[in-house]
Amino acid sequence: MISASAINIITGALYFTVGAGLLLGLAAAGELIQEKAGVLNLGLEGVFLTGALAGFYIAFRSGDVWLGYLGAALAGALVGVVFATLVVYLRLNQVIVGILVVIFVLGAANVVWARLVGNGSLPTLPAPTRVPIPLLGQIPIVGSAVFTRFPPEYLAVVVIALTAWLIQRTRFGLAVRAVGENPDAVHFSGLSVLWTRVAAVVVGCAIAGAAGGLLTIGQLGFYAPGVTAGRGWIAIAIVIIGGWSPWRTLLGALVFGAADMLQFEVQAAQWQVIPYEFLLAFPYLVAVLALVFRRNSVQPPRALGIPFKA
Amino acid sequence: MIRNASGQLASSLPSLVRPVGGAAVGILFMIAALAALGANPVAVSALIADAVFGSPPQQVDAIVQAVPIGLMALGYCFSFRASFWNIGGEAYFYLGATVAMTIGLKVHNLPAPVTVVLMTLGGALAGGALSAIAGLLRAYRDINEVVVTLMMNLVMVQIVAFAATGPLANPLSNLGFSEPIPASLWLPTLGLTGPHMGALALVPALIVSYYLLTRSGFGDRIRVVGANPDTARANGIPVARTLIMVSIATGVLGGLAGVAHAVGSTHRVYVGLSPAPGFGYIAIIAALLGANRPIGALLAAFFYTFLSEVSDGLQVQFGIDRSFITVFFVLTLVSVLAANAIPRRQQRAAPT
Amino acid sequence: MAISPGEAVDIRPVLVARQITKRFGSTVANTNIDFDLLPREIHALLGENGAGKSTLLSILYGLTSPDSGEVILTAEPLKGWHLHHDRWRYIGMVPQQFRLVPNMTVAEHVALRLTGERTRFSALIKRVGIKVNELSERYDLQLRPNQLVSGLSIGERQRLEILRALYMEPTILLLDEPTSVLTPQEAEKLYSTLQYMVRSEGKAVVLTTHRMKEVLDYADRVTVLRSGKRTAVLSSGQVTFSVLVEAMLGERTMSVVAHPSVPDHASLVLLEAEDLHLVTHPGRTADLTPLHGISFTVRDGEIFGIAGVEGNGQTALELILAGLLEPSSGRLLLRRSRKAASLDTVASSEQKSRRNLDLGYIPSDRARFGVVASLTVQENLLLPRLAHASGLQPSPIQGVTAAETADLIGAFRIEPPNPRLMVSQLSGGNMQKVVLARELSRNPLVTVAAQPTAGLDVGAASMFRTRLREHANAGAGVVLISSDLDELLEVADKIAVMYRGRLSQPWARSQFDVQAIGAAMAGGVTG
Repeated sequence: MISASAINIITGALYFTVGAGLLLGLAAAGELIQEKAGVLNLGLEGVFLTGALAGFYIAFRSGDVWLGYLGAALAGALVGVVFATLVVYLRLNQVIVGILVVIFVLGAANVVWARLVGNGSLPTLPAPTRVPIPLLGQIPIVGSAVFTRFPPEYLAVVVIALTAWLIQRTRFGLAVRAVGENPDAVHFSGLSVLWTRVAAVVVGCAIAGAAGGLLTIGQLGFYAPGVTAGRGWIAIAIVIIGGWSPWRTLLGALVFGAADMLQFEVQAAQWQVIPYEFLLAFPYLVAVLALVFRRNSVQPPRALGIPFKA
Repeated sequence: MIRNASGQLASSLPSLVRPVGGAAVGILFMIAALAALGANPVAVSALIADAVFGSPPQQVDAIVQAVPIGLMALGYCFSFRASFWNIGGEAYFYLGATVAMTIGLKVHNLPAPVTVVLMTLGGALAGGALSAIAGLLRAYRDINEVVVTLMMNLVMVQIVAFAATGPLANPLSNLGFSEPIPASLWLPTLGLTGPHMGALALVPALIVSYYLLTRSGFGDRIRVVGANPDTARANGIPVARTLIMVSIATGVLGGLAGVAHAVGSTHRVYVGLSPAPGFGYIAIIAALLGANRPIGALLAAFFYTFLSEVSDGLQVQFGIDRSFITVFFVLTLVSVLAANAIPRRQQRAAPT
Repeated sequence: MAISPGEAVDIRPVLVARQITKRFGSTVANTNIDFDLLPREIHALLGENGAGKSTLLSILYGLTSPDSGEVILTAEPLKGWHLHHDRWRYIGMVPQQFRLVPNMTVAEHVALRLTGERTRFSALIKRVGIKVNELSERYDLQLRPNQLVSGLSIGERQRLEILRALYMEPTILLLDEPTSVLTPQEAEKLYSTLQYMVRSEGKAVVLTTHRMKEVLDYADRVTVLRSGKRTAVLSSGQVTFSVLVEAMLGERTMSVVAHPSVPDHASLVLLEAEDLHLVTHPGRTADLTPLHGISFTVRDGEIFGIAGVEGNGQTALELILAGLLEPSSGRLLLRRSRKAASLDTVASSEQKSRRNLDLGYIPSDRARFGVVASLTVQENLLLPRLAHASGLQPSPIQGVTAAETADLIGAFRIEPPNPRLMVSQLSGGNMQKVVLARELSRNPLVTVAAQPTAGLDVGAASMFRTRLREHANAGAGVVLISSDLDELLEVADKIAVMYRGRLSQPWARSQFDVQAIGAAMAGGVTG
């Protein structure tokens, strides 16, 4: 016999895990398509935060949640355009510019937020309505935890699947993969390496920006400085751990969604089993271990991080 | 970033004109940007003048902040010149500070100066050892240092959070701050109101870095490894050892930065000891803005900390968030990098 | 087999280039070149390395835009030099350096170029597959649509490039040095395929080569380039060996290295390779050819030549000999000094071997392993000093007067003779002279020289061979890895052939047999 409170805890934990996993999965999908194109975007945390701020503010001002998501994606794409200009067009060092994007956005978001809100009270959005999937939503525990979610989360699943499909099953994806492995081959085929990479960066940043919107508009209902709390970095770690494969990346996202849930539970319940800080550090440690112990067959895109010069 | 053969002291003197001129232009841009945000240019200029020339407490604070940033920026010069993108300054800083505080709190029966030396050595070595991991992984397993050091930063913050609330926690107020080290271990200030003595560490650090990087055989090895590691290897230059050495240098200076800041200024360790976005990240910008040259990196660090002193004024007088200065600092570097890259963009290679 | 020139003259050309000029920085690759291509002909562009053939071909294809002049495609007047997709319908190009992605399939490579079409991707891949099979059969290319490129041999990769170029059934096919990576037998088969295209399908073919024999055997017409200028256009009836030589090389007489006197003291073994194996993995060694039991010895006064078509494991062997790559098994033994009683095993840990064991190294990839482009000529010449010096002491390459390296710069004719110039500002040939000067000036007991004269003009190449010969005559050992068989026949004392990661028994100079060596290069005979 499982008590009702235990069921509540399990349901809650599962709901949280899937939510956190989707968020990370979406951001990781945004990073993955860029890395597949040979562009290492270490600025993901900044793109994420841009989407979180822009999405929340637009949703709050307009009262239209969907407009907020659109705004989040567009704001992310805008950062992507700047990033792509610097690293793809001007061929600046991707590591440096990525770090600079994060520092810039962390600072600029504070400046902007202070001007938008000033000393006023913290604005919030109402919690979104959850809609069960017919039939699946009626399964005990799993039904309400996994299959009863709010619409943008369903959309996130679709976007993640679309990204995987885009990379593996479309002509654009073929060009993206080729440009990440051997840009010379693409150049010689008469396609533009520059525009293929720019497109991958902008699309990827739009996805990551939308992930920021999902966090503030959908899951939290508020914005606060630094709200993304390193999730952009975790998403980068997930892409590495997933070995640059779309489906393993999603799996990794769900695992770290669970780790995120666990860390909250540990913190909330004051369990002394394991310090929650270790759980917070867990994804980063696993990413390093994945690099150290990766199999020979798992290789990053060959042109990752290398600017292309025609 | 590789200087040419005629890098004698005589020719480096006029090159001081460029950073100073650049800083002046940058400040003008900053005033213009602030005016666009609604701040009165005259009042802003007064704030800047006050921070730089007028107010001793602010000047002292600027120097105190410049100690960790400057030390780390010098440290980054070693790695960056080798094209070894070791960005783990935050990790080395926090580890150095944590190790120093641990020694300060747990070692009781030694004379204070001896303990301080132990704290310094412990922090520096710990930073160097952590950073060496990245060098070893790159040298022997060909694992990219960027991800490894980035992840170190993220992990180390959590370890500090754990240490400051756990083993080193202040039993009286568990607010995320460690217990302070005994006052006998605090670094004395220079004069009554001056910066702490840790600031003096910048002088030997600069001299040693300058000699090693620009004059010694080690420095030229770094230069060659950074420009073309394969040719370096084919010519018998120990690439792996050079990479490990530069990573240790970066780590040691990062660790020292943590020791100096914790022992000299905060006397305790906590998350936020390196305030957002982090000394370790600001120092990356400083090093790059200084073209990975020791003097330039240090000047850039001071440029940043002195400008930062206007943050409070901006916040209080105009409601502009203190992060503005960071944003401005990033934009300065991006402008410099882009300005250097635009002419390069035009060149095309011959087909082979 | 060639059609008579009279027949060809009346026909309207399919491709015309007028007054093409192209500069790269200070070097002029093409100067006012006129070129025309007739239907149903194999047109060879002959010239030495660096004569401007590849640049012209690239301009004809539209990959590079000329500084002045124009290219006219008479079948369809296309404007502009941008690599317009429609161009592919009329001109196909097979590059010298393959532009392939290892983890993509044959069909995907073709599909990569079909971005203009609006069919569904899966349908496209399917349709491409059918056509790949069809073309593969028609031209006997032996490729299947689902093969991964990583599993293809060099010859198969070239056939994939050919298939890609032919996919849209263009009337014009351009090939850049197509035979440089092929065995003589493979080259013969390629030419018979090209002849089929020309005779039976009415296509027109342009190919670049520096091999006069191929021109004599297969070309209908030839345009000869020298130093970026056109020196002759000849029909097959007018072509003779001596005419080609004069057009290609001009007034210069090739300085032939004096026939090496076989050193009488050739008894001391300086280097010994014992059963070297290399197993390759994805990642760092992915581009290398596996090695299977390579053994040979090099004695003093000897140039040991290693022949073979590129891509048969020479790069792997070169890197192992230079101490830059650890073999999977086997030993490499080197004599530490002339007086040393025995040979020492080379441990490939971090290049200690090379520093301690006095090995000269002239790498095939000079930009990667030879020079530091952002350093000066002087600093590059002095690089080995950095290996030995203590790191804490003042740098041994700073504060050095120009006089110290002036001799070397003069002796090896490095142009311009300025020690303070950045190496990036030198031409490829002069970069290579910097490497040669540095390595030989250390007077090493054994020197590994890999493709040392590739891309050099005749004068420089000849100087290189002379220097290596003199170096050996003075008692050193040289391993000369070269895909230029003529070069080896000229200077080597022994020649062994690499084929698919194996090394044949060596032929001694007195037994040199071009037929047998050629057969070994094609995999016919391995010792």
